[in-house]
Amino acid sequence: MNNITEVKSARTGDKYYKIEHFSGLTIYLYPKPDYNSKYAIFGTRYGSVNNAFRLDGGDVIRVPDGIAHYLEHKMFECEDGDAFVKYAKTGANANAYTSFDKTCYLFSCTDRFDESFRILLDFVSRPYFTEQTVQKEQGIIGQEIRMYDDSPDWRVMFNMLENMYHSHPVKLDIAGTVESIAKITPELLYDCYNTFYNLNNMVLAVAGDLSVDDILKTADSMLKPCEKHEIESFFEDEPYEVVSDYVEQKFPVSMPMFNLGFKERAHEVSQKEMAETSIILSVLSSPSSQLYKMLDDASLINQSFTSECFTGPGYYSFIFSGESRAPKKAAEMIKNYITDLKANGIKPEDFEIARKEVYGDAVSGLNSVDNIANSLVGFHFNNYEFFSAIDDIADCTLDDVNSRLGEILDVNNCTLSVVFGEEDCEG
Amino acid sequence: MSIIQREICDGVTLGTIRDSRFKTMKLSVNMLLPLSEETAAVNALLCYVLVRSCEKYPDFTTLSRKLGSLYGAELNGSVSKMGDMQCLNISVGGLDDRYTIDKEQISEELTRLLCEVLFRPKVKDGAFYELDVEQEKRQLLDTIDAEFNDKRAYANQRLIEIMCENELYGVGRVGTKEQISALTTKDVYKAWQNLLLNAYFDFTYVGNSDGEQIASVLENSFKEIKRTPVELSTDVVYTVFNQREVVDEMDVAQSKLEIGFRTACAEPEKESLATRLMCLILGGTASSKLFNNVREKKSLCYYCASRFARLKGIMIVESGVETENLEAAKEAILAEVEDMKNGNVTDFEIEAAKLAATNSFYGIIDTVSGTCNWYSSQLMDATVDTPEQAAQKVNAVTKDEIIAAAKKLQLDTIYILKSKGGEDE
Repeated sequence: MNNITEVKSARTGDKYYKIEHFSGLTIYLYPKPDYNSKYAIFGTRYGSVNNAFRLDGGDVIRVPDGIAHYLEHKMFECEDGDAFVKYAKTGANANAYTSFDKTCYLFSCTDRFDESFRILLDFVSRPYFTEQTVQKEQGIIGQEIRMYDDSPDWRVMFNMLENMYHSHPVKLDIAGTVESIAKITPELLYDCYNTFYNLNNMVLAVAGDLSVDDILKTADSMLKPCEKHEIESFFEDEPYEVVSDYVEQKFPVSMPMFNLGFKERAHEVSQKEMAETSIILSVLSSPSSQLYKMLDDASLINQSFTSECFTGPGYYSFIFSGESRAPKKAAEMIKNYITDLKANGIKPEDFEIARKEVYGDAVSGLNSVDNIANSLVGFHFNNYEFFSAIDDIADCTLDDVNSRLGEILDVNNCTLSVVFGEEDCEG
Repeated sequence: MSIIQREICDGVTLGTIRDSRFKTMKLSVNMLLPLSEETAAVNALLCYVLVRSCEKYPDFTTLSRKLGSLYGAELNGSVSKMGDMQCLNISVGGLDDRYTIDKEQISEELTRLLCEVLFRPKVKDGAFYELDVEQEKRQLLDTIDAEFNDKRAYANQRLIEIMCENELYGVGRVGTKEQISALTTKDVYKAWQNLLLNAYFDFTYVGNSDGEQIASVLENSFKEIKRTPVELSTDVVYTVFNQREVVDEMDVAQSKLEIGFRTACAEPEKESLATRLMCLILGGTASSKLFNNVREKKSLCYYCASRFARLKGIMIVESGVETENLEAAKEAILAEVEDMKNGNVTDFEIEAAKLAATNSFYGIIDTVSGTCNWYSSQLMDATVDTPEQAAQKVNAVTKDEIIAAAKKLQLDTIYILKSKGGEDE
């Protein structure tokens, strides 16, 4: 039996269906009447950080770094041909990605949805790895890893993570290293697949002009019931303190780039906390903010300046990033401003603007089927509810936000990462 | 969803697309002036200066705070070419009034804000402010540098410059670095006056209202201005007189090959639709001839695609090629063109191109900006079509018409950006 719940939002006039499918899979359908585009995404709660785990209390398995990403690549290969080739016939745009905490397979189309939907459900449910096909991928992924080594955005972030985390695997490159992926075998891929690609550990989200019946007629026939297992991931103890407060690397960039990361105590971040921290980040980095003005007036940033909340299993931090002729001065100014803000509190008018910016951004996101489906997946894995999260932003108060500010952004526990070109030394 | 056109005054139109699907609205204006060597730079600079501040919100922060208080609304400027016209675009966009927390009327406020930046910029004694102009000059020069670093875009720009050296279309959309650097605050002021008096203003609104209120705000704003709007026109060259090949050498890793053709057919001619489809079959999709034969089968290039400038009657094939493959790639591309002229087009290729075209039409109007562009880009076309109408027309094009369009193709200019062969960029 499928258990179907309708969730409505009075504020936005939208609704979606949450289906507890008999197979064990949770399915979301977000109808977008009169939209031509349709988007489906099939994801598992399994990313690069899940490199030590056990199933049903058995032995802990330690797998090579980068295997989740490797597995994603290999999933496209089926016994009866490449999934991309199958999609080419339906005209869908297909893709996949592996992040720190999830792996997702997706497609978008305007036509022939059901055919593409079948391709998606089919290839993600049917692994096919052989010694030979696994070998073949090492060169391709090796090149991908080297490409990331050439990317300044990527380097500046991972240099920061390496200097923030002592042991948590979030500091490791998602794709692993050339050495680590050389250790990947078909058996290991099957171990990971059988642990994490259990439908009870997965989620499917679809957005577009579709009905529950459109989805279920295919899902019911293709998804087989899956036995539920207990999956535990293990992370070594991570101290509160960062590893070091500064790291730099020379790189061929026309303008130096920086990441300033504030390390927080990892915990399950509630939906309300997420709303509050989003507003705090807007107060600190939106072009309408006082800090942005100060940094801009001092020519310490340009329009690339931004911030994000970076959180997942066992890690939680806030990252400010951008291009700057003088990253150390920019970081100093950000830290001083945070110290002052904590002492004096956020001004009511600044709070009001930030709350509206965050709210406007969340509601605008409901225009796009891509954004809706991706958010539903992320929210599901965090145990958030899509619509009440928007209400939480609207209902946030200045007191909530000020008291939250007191708990986060410890200016004595942050790390600055810089990449700079030959001639751009700050001295 | 169709468009309702209104004339606000002479050379000022408002197109309204009422669409209740979206959580946001957008009001965008294309301001068109003839491209010219003398004014391209100053017009472009003006566009960016206008969106940075105005009399009421005199600096970036006060303007950003106003936008922030309107739920993170956006105000943007950009510059492009539409045929032989230079197009300055300014747009405002934000949350639809239905979704504000305190029932604020954002669309009206944003319409007024757009009028503030257009009609009441921060000026004094017949000039803009030095600081504002200098800041935007720096930004624009950075943009030009970034475009130079993007070798694909740069090669494309060079081809057009060479191929159209005696046409207005050959002028770069933002002028040159030298021209930008030489501009004064008074020059920008004069360009602003010229814009208000002489540009063609094409406003497009996408949102959940009938546009009445926007129309009345705009009517009031233009009331006092005595306008002499320019004609919208583009010269199409039907015969190639001077076929040539130009090679530049540069320290780049990968060589670029750009081939320009005259299509001897352009909007608003009826046959131009067949030319569009012909161009898609040749190199506009992942199942095109150039992609499949030149890139995939012969592995001669990293990318190989064709684009049709439908107002100008020019088709450009662009590709990125290893230097030793330049000749072979050129021959292979020209062979594909000859092949089409000889009628070698399969039904599968035609269907795939039609499917890709109609899919993209329907996809485009699922976003506010896509909808806005869909309609505003048809300003100089023969008719303004909905995606459904455009799809119907595309699907009705026959194989004979496609081959006829191919037969009209004339090779004009080949431009090669050749790698010097060094390892470094």
